[in-house]
Amino acid sequence: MSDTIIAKGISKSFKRGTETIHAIQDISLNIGKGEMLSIMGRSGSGKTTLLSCIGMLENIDSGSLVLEGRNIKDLSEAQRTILRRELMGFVFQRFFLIPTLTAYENVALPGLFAGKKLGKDHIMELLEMVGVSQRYDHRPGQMSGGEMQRVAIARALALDPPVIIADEPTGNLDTANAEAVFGLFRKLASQGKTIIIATHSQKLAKDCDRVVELMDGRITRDEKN
Amino acid sequence: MSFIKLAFKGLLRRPAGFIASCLTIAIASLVLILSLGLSQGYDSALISNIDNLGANILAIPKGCPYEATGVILSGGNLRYAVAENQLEPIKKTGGVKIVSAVIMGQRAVGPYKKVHVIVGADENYHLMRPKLGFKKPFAENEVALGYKISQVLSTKVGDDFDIAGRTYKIAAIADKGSTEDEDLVFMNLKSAQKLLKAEGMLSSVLIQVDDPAQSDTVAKRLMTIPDLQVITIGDFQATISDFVSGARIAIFSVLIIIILIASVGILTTQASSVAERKGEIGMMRAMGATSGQVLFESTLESAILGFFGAIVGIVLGFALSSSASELIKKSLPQSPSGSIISIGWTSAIMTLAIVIAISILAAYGPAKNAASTKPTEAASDE
Ligand SMILES: Nc1ncnc2c1ncn2[C@@H]1O[C@H](COP(=O)(O)OP(=O)(O)OP(=O)(O)O)[C@@H](O)[C@H]1O
Ligand SMILES: [Mg+2]
Repeated sequence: MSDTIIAKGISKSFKRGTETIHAIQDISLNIGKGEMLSIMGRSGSGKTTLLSCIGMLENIDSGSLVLEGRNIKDLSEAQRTILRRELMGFVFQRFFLIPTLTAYENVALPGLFAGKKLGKDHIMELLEMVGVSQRYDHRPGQMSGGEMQRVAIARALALDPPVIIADEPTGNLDTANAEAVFGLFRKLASQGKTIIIATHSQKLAKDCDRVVELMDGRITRDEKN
Repeated sequence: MSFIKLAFKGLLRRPAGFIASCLTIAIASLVLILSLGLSQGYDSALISNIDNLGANILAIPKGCPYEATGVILSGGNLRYAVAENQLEPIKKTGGVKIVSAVIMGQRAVGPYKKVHVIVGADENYHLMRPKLGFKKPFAENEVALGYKISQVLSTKVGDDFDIAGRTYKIAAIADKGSTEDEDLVFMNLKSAQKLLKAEGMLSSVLIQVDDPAQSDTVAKRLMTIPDLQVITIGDFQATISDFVSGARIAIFSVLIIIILIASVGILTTQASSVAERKGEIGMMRAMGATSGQVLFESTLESAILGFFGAIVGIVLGFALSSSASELIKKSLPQSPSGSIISIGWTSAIMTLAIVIAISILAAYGPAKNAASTKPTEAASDE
């Protein structure tokens, strides 16, 4: 069976004034189904850019990217959005829950954009799995950071995507909550989800199946734990 | 979860901004519905008044024509008069069909001595104004009452009726329906002249012509009669229209300014709201919202804002239309006696549609801006 994500020589640069910043350069990376991979590297090394490219949040300048057997090269912006909806769930350092919606409603939100009504049982099941089902009726303001990030993870899982992309998901959490979140990812990986996490934490990266390290937009290390 | 709910919750992010925007939109909607109602109300009030008059031409005393037309339509005391001996030359003028002489003045009437307008009318008046439902001319000691005054005083045909110490018999009560006539007391021309101490004098002469299309020609002939001023219904309408169009221009200017203020309010509220939510909008894009969906959601927010503001404004419009009508009438030298603002479903729906459209347009820039938010905004760390 072929890998979930096949990146071949992808590059992405940004213009800042007259200067061109090569955020990632010539990155090739295959990620298998159910793999839990962490991306490490100093600030500015290109972690977010790599995740954004893999997650189709950002268009790549060159190289090829095949996601679940689909080459994204020839897709329009709208088609990418729809594919992203099917394939990817995102978790960021900042949770970006809608503050005026309850935990339940926040998890239901991806269904609105996908034009699918998500069942009550399905949403409660997700909240149950991330451990905040008792908070379903609370708004983000009434929840702790750890709880909010769990709701955000449940939201990322709402449309049951095969891939979860998490950019410093524990950046705003204390150690206990950070470990719990990684525990959750571990569980998801064991259920067959492909998990890609950018993190600064050596300790948490050790919990992953594989660690990729970036420096100046290039891979400098790629090891299985 | 629906887009409407999401948009509504989005607006509730900033309750104070939401309420402030709604209120400015409500004020704009209020002015809009009143000015829509003004043109409709004014036209209908004028048309019904003129219809009820039954005349094509009015002969009025030399003097201020505006004051004279006012006296004819809504009553009042006489300052200038037409002499009774001018009646014969009017009747003899070619093209004139029926002529009815009228005197008007105010006196305290009935048990409560409330001041009402007295109309003294000659033997042709009931023919000229069939809508009042009077079947025959009034005799010397008879009065006929407008519908409303008869209701207020709960009197009926055959009762005695007191005017300034004299007693008359109620011979008829006018049919319901013509508001400006409902407070009038009608009586015989001679008795009224005696009562008003104006023997031989008339307030006006209502003239019906054989062919209404020839009103202008007949009016020209009538103008040759000395000391008589003649005004056709068309001129009359134009006279009053001049005043109201002045008021309308003033209201329209106010309306434009208020709509601009409300639009700028919506624009700034939505622009800062979008700026504040860049990350969230990026998150929505990341989780699969197309830029079209973001544009739709943002537009929906402006529409909801417009909807609530318009509803409040429309409700206020219904509540305040009669006071606004009085206020505008006070600023006019002459106006019809009915309400000059009439708001109904048509003006309410027009207001709602216009205000929602303006709200959407005003916030179109911020909505476009929201739609162009990149999903990577969600990944940025502050
Ligand atoms: N939209 C952008 N415009 C201009 N430059 C950018 C943009 N996004 C990223 N960069 C630059 O690309 C480089 C890589 O940035 P990136 O955010 O991928 O790093 P990172 O490894 O995620 O860093 P951090 O650990 O601080 O999150 C940096 O030099 C950054 O300044
Ligand atoms: Mg980053």
